[in-house]
Amino acid sequence: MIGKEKIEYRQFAILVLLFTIGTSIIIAPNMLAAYAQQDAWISALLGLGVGLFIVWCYSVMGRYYKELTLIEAIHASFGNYLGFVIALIFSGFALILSSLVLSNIGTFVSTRLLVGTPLDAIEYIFVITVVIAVRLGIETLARSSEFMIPMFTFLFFILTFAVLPQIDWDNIKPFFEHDMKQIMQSSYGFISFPFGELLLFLMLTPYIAKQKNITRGYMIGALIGGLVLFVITLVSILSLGGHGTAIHTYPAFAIAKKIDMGGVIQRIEVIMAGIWMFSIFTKLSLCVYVTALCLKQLFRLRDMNCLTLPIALILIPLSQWLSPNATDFQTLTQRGMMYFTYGVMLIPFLTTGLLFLKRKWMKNKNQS
Amino acid sequence: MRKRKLLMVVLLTMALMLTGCWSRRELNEIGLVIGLGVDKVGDEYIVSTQVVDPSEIASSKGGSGRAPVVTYKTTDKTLISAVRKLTSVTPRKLYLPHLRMFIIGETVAREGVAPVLDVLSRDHELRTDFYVIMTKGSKAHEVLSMVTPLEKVPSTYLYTMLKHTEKYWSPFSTLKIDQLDNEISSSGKETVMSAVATKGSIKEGQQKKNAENISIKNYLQYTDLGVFRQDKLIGFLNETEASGYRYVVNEIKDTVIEMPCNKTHKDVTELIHPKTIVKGKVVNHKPSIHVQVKAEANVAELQCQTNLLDRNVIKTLEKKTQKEIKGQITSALQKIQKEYHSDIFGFGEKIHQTNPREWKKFEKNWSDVFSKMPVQVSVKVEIRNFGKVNQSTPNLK
Repeated sequence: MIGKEKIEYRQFAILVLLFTIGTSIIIAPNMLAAYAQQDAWISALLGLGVGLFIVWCYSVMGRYYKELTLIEAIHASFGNYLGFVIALIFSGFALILSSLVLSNIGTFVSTRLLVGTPLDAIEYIFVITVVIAVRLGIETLARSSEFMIPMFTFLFFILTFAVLPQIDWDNIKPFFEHDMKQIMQSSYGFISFPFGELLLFLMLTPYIAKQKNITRGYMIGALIGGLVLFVITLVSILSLGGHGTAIHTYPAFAIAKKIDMGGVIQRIEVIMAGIWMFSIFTKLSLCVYVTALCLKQLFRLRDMNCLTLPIALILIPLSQWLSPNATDFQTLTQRGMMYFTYGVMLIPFLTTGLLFLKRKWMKNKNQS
Repeated sequence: MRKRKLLMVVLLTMALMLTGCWSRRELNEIGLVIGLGVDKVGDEYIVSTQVVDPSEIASSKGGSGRAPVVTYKTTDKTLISAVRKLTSVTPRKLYLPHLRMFIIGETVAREGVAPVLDVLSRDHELRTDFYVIMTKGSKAHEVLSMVTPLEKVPSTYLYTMLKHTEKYWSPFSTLKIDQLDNEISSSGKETVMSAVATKGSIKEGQQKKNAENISIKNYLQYTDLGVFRQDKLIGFLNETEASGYRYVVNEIKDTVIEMPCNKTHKDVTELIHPKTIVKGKVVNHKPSIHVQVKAEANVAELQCQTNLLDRNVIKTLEKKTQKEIKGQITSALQKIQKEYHSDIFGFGEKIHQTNPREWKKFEKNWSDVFSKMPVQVSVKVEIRNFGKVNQSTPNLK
């Protein structure tokens, strides 16, 4: 059963938007350029297309589940025992995703902004804020993200326009130098992260006030989020070059550092970092919220708030264990997470298929 | 309830006071590094670090007579440890983000600059807005210890000098670290770097009285453009060739062109808004390049008797300017293609951008292909204005 909390589809779209942008905004250009170099923007468009299709599938499934969350739907289709195992995998996915998001922001802040401050201190502060947000519930989270959107938009446009003087169109040429295989290789990562991860929202669809608007909210959020990522990737390639984008760990931060408008407006990269602070905060809060919701429904608990603190406490060691160093994070962890995401993405499809057959079977049985 | 509100207020006020950075550094504890120089002796780097003494720069009364900057010299196998080693000689922790000049000694440039560049792009403190130059004939620490007139800090002197010469005089160009990194790693564009030389006696130039004379005998000057292949210096371009180079890469913003009008005298035009378009094409597996320069010009100085209201005179001046520019470009092309075989013009990038497939074949032995590649140069100059008067100053001859 779902409580009384309700969110508008517009708020849902904003949550999807900020979740999509989330951590991707700082590392997606780098991931995309790793294989395709200056052709990364093609990979981004390709990934966006496939990603939107997957998101559309999610939204259709969300409508099909009606007032069920994904966990409840899994229980309904797979039965108690198998359902429990699959739901556990899904909850694990949400937990690991939260820890990776945390390690991402933690590493970013501790290597670029507050060098010398221990990682733990940064992560604790971030996690405490997130726990407060999660305990206040999804309605508060949705409303606060609505509040962040104007600031986010403003900063994003400033960033994009301020970088324009640094742009060199020759950086993006030649088009299609890399063959389809390399371009696709870059897209794989982009499809799973962030679009594949949007399946976490199947836990939140029952909260939407008007069910028929699920598709609209899902699609608008993912589309705008994807376009923002595309623009950032394009701008990174244009100003840093394909090779430059591939070697910088955080290309978005690197281009923010290059901002220099007439020698007057410069050194504003920390203000620009506000962009991803907003989006990463929202993404992490949603991840933690979904993890707590999953565990609550998995173990049939009455209250969810008792879970937030333990989850938060697990997150910090887990994040440092999963990405012990910068090299591992950029190679093993990202790659492993990609396969894991693709695996988990099968769950809703299987669940829906089984549920569909089951409902049909029940109907036939009732009729006969 | 009121108690709770009060508690909140107290807590929030306390939070305000608790702010601060974990690794904060007060302004009077840090030494602002404004210039770095690298030389090499044996297998050790000599790092010269120029640190500003803020009280000498800021004071309006002329300060206490100490030098406004100090240049430290430390020796180590790596750059970062040489800079860290400095803490044993200086009372202040060095602070790098305000770096203006990075000066590479000629010896290091000949051996390869890649090893000294890594720390510049890796260290989190450094920004990318400083200039990279090299020395010619002298050592980096000598350049950094010259006393300079007009500008108290030698690094700032070099920085603004390069910035202005790039804008108003053709041969020298600024170079930033990210561009340098890109050019070293790219196979279709090699690097050039402005080279600074010390004129006069270095020993006297290091004395404080060097800046006390009205006519300066010992000074710093940009003299050449160093040509690199990958990360190694292979030679220099003189001023004329360097200008030719900068026309091709479309970097010239404003410059003057001298041309002879009779045996002893010269006319001068000033170029405004020159624009170069380089087009690459591959026909029958043979690459070729077309360089098109278009510029507007004004008459800047006339030494011969001329009537500027005559259209033919203007036409002749235009033709002569075109010929002069073309000559500069050709001399640069000749020297590079015949002698250095290093594609500093970025022709390879152009071929890469227009014919990526063909480029794959050329890439391996590009410097050979480049050296034999035909380059067509066309220059078009239009004179717009002739200044305040329409005739040259009359003489009685």
